[in-house]
Amino acid sequence: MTVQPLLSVRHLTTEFQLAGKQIARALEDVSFDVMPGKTIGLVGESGCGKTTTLMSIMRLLPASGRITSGNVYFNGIDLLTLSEHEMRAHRWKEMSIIFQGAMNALNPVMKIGDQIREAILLHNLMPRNAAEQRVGELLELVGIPRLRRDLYPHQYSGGMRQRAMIAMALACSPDLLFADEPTTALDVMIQAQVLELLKEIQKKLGLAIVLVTHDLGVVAEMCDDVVVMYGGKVAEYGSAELVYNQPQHPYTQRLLEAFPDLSRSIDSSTDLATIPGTPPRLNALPPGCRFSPRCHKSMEICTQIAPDLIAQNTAGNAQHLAACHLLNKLEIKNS
Amino acid sequence: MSAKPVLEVRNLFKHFPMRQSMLDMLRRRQAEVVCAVDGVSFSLEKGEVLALVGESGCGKTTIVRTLIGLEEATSGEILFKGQEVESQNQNEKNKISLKQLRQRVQIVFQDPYESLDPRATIFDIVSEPLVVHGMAANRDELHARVKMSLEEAGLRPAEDYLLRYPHELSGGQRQRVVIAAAMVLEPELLLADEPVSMLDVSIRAEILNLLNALRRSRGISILFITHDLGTVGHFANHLAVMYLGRIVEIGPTAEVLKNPQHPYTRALLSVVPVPNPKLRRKMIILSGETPNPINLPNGCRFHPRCPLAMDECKLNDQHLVDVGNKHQAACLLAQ
Amino acid sequence: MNENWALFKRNLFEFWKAFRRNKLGLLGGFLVLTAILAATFAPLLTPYAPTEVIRDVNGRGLTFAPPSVHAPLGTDDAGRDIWSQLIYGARVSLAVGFLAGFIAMFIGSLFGILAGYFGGRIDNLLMRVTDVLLVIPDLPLMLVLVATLRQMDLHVSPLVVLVFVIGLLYWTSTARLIRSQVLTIKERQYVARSRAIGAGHVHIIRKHILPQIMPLIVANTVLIISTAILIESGLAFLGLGDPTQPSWGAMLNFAFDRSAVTNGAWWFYLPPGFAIVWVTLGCVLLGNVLEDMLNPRLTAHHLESNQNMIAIQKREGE
Ligand SMILES: Nc1ncnc2c1ncn2[C@@H]1O[C@H](COP(=O)(O)OP(=O)(O)OP(=O)(O)O)[C@@H](O)[C@H]1O
Ligand SMILES: Nc1ncnc2c1ncn2[C@@H]1O[C@H](COP(=O)(O)OP(=O)(O)OP(=O)(O)O)[C@@H](O)[C@H]1O
Ligand code: SF4
Ligand SMILES: [Mg+2]
Ligand SMILES: [Mg+2]
Repeated sequence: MTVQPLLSVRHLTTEFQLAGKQIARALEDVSFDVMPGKTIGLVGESGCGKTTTLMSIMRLLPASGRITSGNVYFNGIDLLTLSEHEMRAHRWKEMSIIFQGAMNALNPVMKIGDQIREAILLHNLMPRNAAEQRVGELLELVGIPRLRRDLYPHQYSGGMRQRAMIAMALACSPDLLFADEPTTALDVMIQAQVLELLKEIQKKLGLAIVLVTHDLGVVAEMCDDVVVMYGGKVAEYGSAELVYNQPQHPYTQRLLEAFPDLSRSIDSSTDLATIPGTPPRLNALPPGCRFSPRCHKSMEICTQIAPDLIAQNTAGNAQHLAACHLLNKLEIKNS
Repeated sequence: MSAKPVLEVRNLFKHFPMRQSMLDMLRRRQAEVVCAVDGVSFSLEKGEVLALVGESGCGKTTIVRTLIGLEEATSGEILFKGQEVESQNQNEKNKISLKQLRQRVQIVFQDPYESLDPRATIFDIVSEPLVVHGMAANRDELHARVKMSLEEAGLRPAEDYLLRYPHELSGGQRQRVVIAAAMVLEPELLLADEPVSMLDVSIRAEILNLLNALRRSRGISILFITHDLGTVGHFANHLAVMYLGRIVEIGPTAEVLKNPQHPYTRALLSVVPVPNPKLRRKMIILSGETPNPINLPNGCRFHPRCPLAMDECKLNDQHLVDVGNKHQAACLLAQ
Repeated sequence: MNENWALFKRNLFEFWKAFRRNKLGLLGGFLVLTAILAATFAPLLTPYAPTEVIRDVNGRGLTFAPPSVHAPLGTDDAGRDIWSQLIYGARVSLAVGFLAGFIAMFIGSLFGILAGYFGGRIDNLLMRVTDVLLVIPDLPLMLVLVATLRQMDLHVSPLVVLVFVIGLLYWTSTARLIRSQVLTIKERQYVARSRAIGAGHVHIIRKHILPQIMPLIVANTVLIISTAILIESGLAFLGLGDPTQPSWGAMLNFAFDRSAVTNGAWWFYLPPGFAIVWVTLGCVLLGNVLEDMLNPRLTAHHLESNQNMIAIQKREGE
């Protein structure tokens, strides 16, 4: 018996209109599946398109952004074909989002509890007194005592603000939660608390989580599947165990080697691996593989033709895909 | 030859008096104080790296600011190469003046986006220390030294950067500029306050390698501040763990990491995300927020959050005791 | 030196590139520039000297003549050419405006920087002085001051008195503005870094504070100049200008004195009024645009809160 994916993103391509009629393709051919009750991680360097992916799925792109092709199936319905009105029925109620940096953008002159209640009322979910009741439940769900609803954001610490944001996102018990860099700016202990909270909530409510982060460690701790993004494309996608233990794409390999890690030997005489250069700018994408200018294994074909995302040989039904010409060649040889 | 340590800190205290309300003043209430640094001692030998680790708000930045004279210590001694550092605005004999100190000790701040003057060119920024200390005889020498420093910091060719502005550089490049400006005076001690925590993983590794290379080639000592234990193993000879203004564990890095004695160190270690899903461990997640350094708990400062706390912990304040191998910890259980 | 020049040229070029696209700024610049050019080249642009009486064939003064080929904007009650007075008047108005503006800017910036940077007593003094000056109504105070000073045989031109009175009374808003800017700049991390390098106060103010607030000073000066020109016109209109030097305010004063309005001699009072609007509007447009444009550029970055996303969240919530 196969479980149907809750969310299925297929060949998503999103463009931004830049100043002077320029067009920047922020996402190209992004595909992945989110299974019900599972956690999937979106990782990559700053600017690789993680937030844009979420915004495209939620159809919350700014006016300059446009989805040019692809499909987003949620429970089998293509969200991109819905009207704005129909889309609203899905947002917050079935899928909700913790925006990047939102915890630093709470209204400073409004009590936390009121802000959560406003969010509930804005979406016409329930009458006012029921909403007030719900605020208390939600706060307790994320581990904030009910009484603290009357405090203002500046009286909350960073960790508590993030909890409040999680509470807000859970207001209508969604099936799918997008969390955009929920722990960036928090220190390790608070990060651990927030991640633990997400895990607990997932267990309790059975929701699926799409966790966006640039921290490979966080993904390894949390996720069942991983999408490694580079320059707006998927570089590697698969179950976390396979991606971490048998990384196929040179970018993933380098990223993992560059990650300072306690589990490796303690030795200050050797250098960490680095990835020379900087990520490509969207208005000056290199031809061929987008990683080729920084890739230590780059070949001639890499600078000419973009590699496709190809399934890797894996045992069992775990899936693992990577987009690199090195892997392509092997396939050709094998066949 | 028993060389004096480059930096020795003895019993450093830094308390910030809180602003009192008029009412409290009338009531003759005692002003509350924030005990940001509360009795810290350590020393740093030539060519070594001491990592100072702890949660947000435990006083790491305050130590750095006090060391360089940006804050005046409440009490305690700071010795640079065996010589005491004068406190602000006093010309004391036998003491090294702040100006001299600031020539031989340099600082790298956390935020590469904030620590560069947006209106100064890279040349202005890197040449500033030389100009301030009158260290270049003429313009040619100034140029030569600035270029050398930039190239050493990995910004090659230096000519390309001289006339650029910070906003034209990426985060990693900016942090390199900060490091170039810090190294241009050939300091003996570098105070690095979370130099990589705002950077992407791949860039993080580059900056850590750069600091490591500078240490190897120049033999400078580094006080390396971070809240991420992950970066420490690759880099630091010694590790000091701070909690609420105090050092609770200190020793050689390998020793402390392999054999942590203080429950706080163990908790911190357990929550460092490991980039390998197979190695997920049980995290020791401390509940609650970083406590507030205004109302210090009685007894061991860590006892309200300590998973192993006993009755005795609530009574007696704990001080560092030797546990062998130059390793000290401030916990009842370590004795 | 060479590369500093190159850098300067590049900055100037980039500034011009951005400025060129701003319509309002261009308009303001045009208005101000034409006024300055007119003042500078007044003798070339005028057929008569400002005090010269135009006479008809009979040698009689051509009084209250409407615009004609002889006098493009007509003549006043004494037969003097309005156009020539207007152009020469630009010299007086602009000179008073610029000088007073610069004095105000200099004092204001100095006080603002010292108060913001050092705080403490200087700051307290500044705040008290500005409080006092802010509550006293400007115009009556100025009238009293100018009138008193003119009584005291100072052997200086009334215009000099005017310049100093305006300059010495109008620095407070600049000082407050700059003080608040300096207060935030001095807390920035790059200032702390500079201090940690060993830089002294003079170095920090010169290298880090001044360049940051220079745009503000420039923009503010342009705005103050427009105020100074307005005030000069006002005072001159009330008869406190220099009667021997035609300024726009003085022209209006004459016009009303000699009942130009009741005589229907619109060419007597409309042009100076128009000229005042011309220059002050130019200054205000230019000042506001400069203030916007010269703000330090900020780049977005992934660890900062993303305002964009919040806007979306709000929109969605509506
Ligand atoms: N409104 C916009 N207009 C133009 N380009 C945009 C816009 N929003 C994002 N981009 C560009 O799209 C790319 C992807 O941005 P996105 O915010 O998705 O990155 P990200 O992976 O979330 O990065 P971060 O880790 O910094 O949050 C970037 O290069 C960015 O500059
Ligand atoms: N000028 C000040 N006045 C009052 N309290 C202060 C001042 N500077 C710091 N503190 C307090 O001292 C404590 C230690 O702050 P510090 O900045 O040294 O922490 P930190 O360890 O560097 O934290 P982080 O990891 O967040 O940078 C904090 O509780 C802070 O609120
Ligand atoms: S396709 Fe080529 S350039 Fe791209 S990652 Fe693979 S080897 Fe490197
Ligand atoms: Mg993002
Ligand atoms: Mg700090």
